[in-house]
Amino acid sequence: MPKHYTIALAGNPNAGKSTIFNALTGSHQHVGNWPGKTVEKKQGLAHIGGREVAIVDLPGAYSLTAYSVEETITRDFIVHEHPDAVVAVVDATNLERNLYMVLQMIELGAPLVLAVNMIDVARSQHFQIDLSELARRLGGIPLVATAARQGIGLAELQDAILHVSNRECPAPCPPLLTYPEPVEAAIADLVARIEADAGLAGRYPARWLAIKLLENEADMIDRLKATGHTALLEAARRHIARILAAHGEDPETLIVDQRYAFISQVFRATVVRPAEKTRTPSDRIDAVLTHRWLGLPVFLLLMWIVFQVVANVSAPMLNLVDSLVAGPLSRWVAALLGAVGMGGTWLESLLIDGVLAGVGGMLVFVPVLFFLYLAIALLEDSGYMARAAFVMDRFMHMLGLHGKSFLPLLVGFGCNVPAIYATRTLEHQDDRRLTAFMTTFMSCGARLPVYVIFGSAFFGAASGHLIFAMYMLGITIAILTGFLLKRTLFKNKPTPPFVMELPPYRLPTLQSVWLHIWERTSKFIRGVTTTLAAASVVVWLLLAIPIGQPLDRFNQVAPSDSLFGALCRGLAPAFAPAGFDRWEATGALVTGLAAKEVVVSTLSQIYVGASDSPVQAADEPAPTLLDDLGAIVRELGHAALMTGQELVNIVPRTLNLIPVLHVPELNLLPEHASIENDTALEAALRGAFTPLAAVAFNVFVLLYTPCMATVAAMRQEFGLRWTLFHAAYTLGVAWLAAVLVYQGGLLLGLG
Amino acid sequence: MTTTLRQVLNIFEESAHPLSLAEIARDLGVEAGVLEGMLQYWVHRGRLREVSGDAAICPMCSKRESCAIMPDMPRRYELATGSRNELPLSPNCLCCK
Repeated sequence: MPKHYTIALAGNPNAGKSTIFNALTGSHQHVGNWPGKTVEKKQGLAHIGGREVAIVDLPGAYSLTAYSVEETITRDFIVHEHPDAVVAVVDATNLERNLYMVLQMIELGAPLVLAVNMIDVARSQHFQIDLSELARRLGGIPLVATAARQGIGLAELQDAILHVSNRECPAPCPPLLTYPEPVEAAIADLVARIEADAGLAGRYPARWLAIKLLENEADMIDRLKATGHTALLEAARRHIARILAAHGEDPETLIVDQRYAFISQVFRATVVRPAEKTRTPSDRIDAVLTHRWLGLPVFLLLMWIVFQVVANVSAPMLNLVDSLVAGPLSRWVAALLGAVGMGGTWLESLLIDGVLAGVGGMLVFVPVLFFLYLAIALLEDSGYMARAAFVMDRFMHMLGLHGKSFLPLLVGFGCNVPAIYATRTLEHQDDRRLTAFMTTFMSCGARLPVYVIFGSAFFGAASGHLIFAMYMLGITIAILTGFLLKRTLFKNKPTPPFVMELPPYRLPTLQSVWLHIWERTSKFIRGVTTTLAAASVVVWLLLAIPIGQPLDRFNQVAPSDSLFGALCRGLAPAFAPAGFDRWEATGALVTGLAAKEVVVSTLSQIYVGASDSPVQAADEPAPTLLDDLGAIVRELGHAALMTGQELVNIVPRTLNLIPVLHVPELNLLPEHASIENDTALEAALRGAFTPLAAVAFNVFVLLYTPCMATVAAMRQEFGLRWTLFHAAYTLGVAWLAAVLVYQGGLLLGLG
Repeated sequence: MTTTLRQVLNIFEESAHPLSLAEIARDLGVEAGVLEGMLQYWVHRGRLREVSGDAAICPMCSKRESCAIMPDMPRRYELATGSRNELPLSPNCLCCK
């Protein structure tokens, strides 16, 4: 009966090892764990050339240096189990990375077959691999090109496995790779010592063990210590010290460097990549997008486009949701309460003027966030977001700030709380404090609705400019703050830069984009529903309690005569220099300390909740449910049409940034058709603010003390004193900036 | 003679601004895959630190694998100077409550 062979499959992760294993063994597989390890062990049986062959799929590893448990398992199996053949599976599209482990297996003297897998992919990418030259340069090992998924090359692979297992193909001799002279001298000395020890020489290939000792490999040293080979270890230690002293580099680095030099030589001699592969489309795009001087303007242009999408494309849907909340939804709640005898009671007021005006007033911004998250998902999935971080890192480094600070700042655009925690990626406490300080000036998603409502109320189609300006102002103030603190409180040495992997650009998939949008929007909805319901009830209660009037006027008092009005009126004069000293604005800012979402909901409660807008005027017939449903469908169709129009108009608006161009915008509505796209809150705000005061108010909202959750995170990370200092600083900066904007605007005649 | 491996480390220590892997590979005249292996070598030696994308951004968060706020960021390498802020994970990260 022919001898039973054992074959091992080894290689880097994702080289296609498991595909070859499955192709060879079919359904004859057994999955367990390696003894004492949690790493999966896959074994199977195959019939090759009439023989039964056991095939072991070794864990994916990048080297045999025992850096990880997978590498130790792979190495030990080859050294101690003596498989009849080892199939080294390499990815043909990433040969230079995969060859390192192959080289180590050759040094180990493993009976090797090289499977250059995914050859079909490499060829489709126009890689030309000289396989015979590759085999020759690797010491003449058997080499087979495979495309395991397609079953290509598997028969030849089986033949090569048999060939090697039958020992018809000796391991390369002399050594394939020689190291610099001092290392080779040390190897020779250690080899002599190992060969003098029959027990040791019987267990390990002598040259390989000598190299391992010079590489100072902890796992191998421990094993030799356990078996009492202290003299050998001491000799190795002396060699290492001598080489380090003489050459300024330890033998391990010299050995690894030599391996990579050898791999580079082999790769250049055997692989030809077409010109376009040496400079990929991603490289060409990056030449512009990450260019030292062009990168930043491109980033700003893309951000401008994002905020055009957020402000204008989302506007029709925002108006639709607003009209739903203020109209049919409020009417249905009122009708429902009327049907159960609660009409006209405080409960109706609480639900409609409190919860619906507050929570509903905020939920109308879901379309805004939907489009924001859509834009972010497209930037992330296309690979641009990594470039943005890279460009901004470089920019911040130029200003003397820590380049790594930009990632927490980027996170701050979503929410300041995780951004505070994200500062943990910085090593030094001073850098962390400084970055956290800057982070809260990043305009989080909760502040966006404030810009949207004010931008829409005062600047109409140009509201995107206001939003863009707010985001840019936040970044500017953050950088100025960092610049200032770095030169005062946090004087320390400049920090070295980092290296970033820029993934290839790719087309975003619908599924991935939708997943991003859904996760983020649903998180926002869950968050605001609970927070705003509680805040709205508190604000409603404060608005319902009369001041200077009998208590039986509860819930029947004008907002200005309520407890809330009285409290806020006391603080309002502080904002007179900024142009918004109305108690309503102050009230929104005070409640905004709980969460920035509450700013708009409070304004909505004060200005819209107190009005009679949701309730039908007495002389108009109440619309029926069918009337409402019909109107909703009509408005939905109209909103969809307008969304499409605004989306198309991004192109002319962007082109019109070039002064000499005037590209006409698409207008799907007939000239005479007028649409009501003004929300009740927008109309109320126009009566309460001047445009200049509105901008100053937005500046204050952008910069002032962050929400309670952020303050709590700050306290948890940096302590109370630092948190109080930060709160005072942000409040001061916000007030100063708002006053500067307002007073500066007045001086320029913009009031 | 300075080894290529040492040159890689020198770039981290001497560069005045952040770099991309492609830039370094071009400057050193090595293939991207070879550079990746060299960076991993220094990571194993404790001279560089690999910061892998979003998992590193929110170390507090118990839901960081599926966090809705964290952008997906690519791998970065940095000099392993100073001690890393190995603070305990919290099952109640404020951002994910």
